[in-house]
Amino acid sequence: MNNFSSVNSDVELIKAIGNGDHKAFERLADRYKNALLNFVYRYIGDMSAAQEVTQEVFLRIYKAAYKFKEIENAKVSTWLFKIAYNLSMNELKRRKRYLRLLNDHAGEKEMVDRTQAFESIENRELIEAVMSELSLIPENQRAALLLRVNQELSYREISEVLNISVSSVEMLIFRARRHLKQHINRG
Amino acid sequence: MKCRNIRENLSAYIDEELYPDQSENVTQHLLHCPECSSALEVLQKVDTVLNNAPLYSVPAKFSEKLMHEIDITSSSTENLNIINLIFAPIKKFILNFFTLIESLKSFKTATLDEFSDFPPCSMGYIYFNLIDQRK
Repeated sequence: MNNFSSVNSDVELIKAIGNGDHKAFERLADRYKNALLNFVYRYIGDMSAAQEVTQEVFLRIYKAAYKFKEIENAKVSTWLFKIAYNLSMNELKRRKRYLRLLNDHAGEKEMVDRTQAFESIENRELIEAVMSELSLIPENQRAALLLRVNQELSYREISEVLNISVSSVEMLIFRARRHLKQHINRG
Repeated sequence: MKCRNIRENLSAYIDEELYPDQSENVTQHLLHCPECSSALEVLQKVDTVLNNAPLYSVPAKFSEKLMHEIDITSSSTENLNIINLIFAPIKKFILNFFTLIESLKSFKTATLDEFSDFPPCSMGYIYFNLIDQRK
């Protein structure tokens, strides 16, 4: 087992996890749990499902940590978000398949309720409008924009997560921003 | 460069994903084009809104629950290893036993009684005749 006190970088943590180091796993989970939760929540729009997906991401990481190979420029965060994105996509597909007939806006409502603490009413309304619209734009545009704006991933990293070309990423983000800016203009 | 081309690049410009010469072109254009500058501000505001939207934390017991799941996963893997350790030799023995049985079935055997009608010392003659025929 690795000496935990010397473990700092994500790659070192993953290697330690691959050797069965639970503390390294806890540390990695602490580092990414909220970022993953917020990405998944904004992507699928349901907090309960987002929590389950986030947990599943970490379980997959634990089981597959020994497979992670340090490739040039490869980042653990990219790997984490790729798993989160794939699981979220599966969750959305599952929901569409089984809940197609239900007009379920629970996610939107939850999103609106949770913005109550925001100070300015004008800003709150703008956030509500943009976040609501975010849930309506195509899924790949939404994922690309969230990974760029909230997670600050580069286009290349996003292309790895979404498994598409860098130019496609550029186009998705451009379209997503163009769509959302209409609400800013109205505001 | 026309405003239309500039606006198509504004998103990548915000993200600093343009080539340096493209980025410089956009910067120069923005210096003297209020419409494109305004369009840039609106796009930047989209990002600001997304960054100002409320962030959530995992529930208090998330880590505890996660580590519990990990313990279950680890123990089930360990149990599986122990089971494999105990049953692997037994599995190997059974596999070998049935392989042997199957291989014996493929032999065509005959009792000595079946050869009793042949004249004495004819077996060698028959054997060598068969060998010659194969050649």
